[in-house]
Amino acid sequence: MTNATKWLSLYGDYLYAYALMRVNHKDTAEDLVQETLLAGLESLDRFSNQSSEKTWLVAILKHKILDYWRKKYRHKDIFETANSVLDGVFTQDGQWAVLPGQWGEDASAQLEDEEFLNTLQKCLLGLPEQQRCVFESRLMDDAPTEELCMAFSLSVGNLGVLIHRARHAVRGCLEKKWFQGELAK
Amino acid sequence: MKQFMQKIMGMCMPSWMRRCDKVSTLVVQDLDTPLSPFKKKGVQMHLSMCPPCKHYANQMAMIQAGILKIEQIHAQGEPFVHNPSVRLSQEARDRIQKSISPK
Repeated sequence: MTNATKWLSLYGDYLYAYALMRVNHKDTAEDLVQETLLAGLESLDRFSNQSSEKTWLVAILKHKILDYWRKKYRHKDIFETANSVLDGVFTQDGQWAVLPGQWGEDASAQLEDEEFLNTLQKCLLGLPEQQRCVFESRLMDDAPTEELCMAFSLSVGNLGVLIHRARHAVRGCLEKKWFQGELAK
Repeated sequence: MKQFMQKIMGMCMPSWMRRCDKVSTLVVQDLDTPLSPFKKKGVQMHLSMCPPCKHYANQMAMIQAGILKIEQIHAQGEPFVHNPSVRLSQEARDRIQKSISPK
């Protein structure tokens, strides 16, 4: 059995599930698995046994995901088309227009709740895709700011604003979809 | 006494430290790129006096932890154990197999 055939049989589903979580599109996720295995074959001599094959393949997949986003959005004005949920959140003198309330006594306990994580994931998927891909690359892949700015033609300032808006939008979604329901119980 | 101290401290603060919009932006920035110790101290001071910003900061930290957890769960390969429907179709598997087979 060749290396790539072994990878496909051992890690195919795993790589696919990971890619699907990130790109949220079946055909694209399948293509990314294929590209990952091909890239793995090409760079097999650089694989060091210090990491597991699985970890190594997922690192390649993450590069492929960023490449996919870069190609898709390189000519689009990501900043202009992202949401601007921060408008109207503050008064002119910099105070909250609507005060953030507390999410229960021990909200962080929710992190152990699978259903909560599903809701959080849905909220992420609810972001405009061009915003989500930048936010996720930064947070999940720890992609350097400069690399993201270059990939998506963003200034450092705009990247920061974009990510802030993404975080704020996810917060608003969670509050609506989870905590209002939770608090009403 | 505490209120009095807070009032005094408030008067000595740079103006950004009194503004919830500026502080909440810094709270979010800190999750991305750690702030300088001076700014961090200023943010902490504001948070200790401003429950709404404190709630916001806790919520942002929780969202950060939650998203990282989602990534971690997937990176460990658990989802397709939980969810057998997230699997490569036979058709896709055959196609990929063909593309990676030596020509």
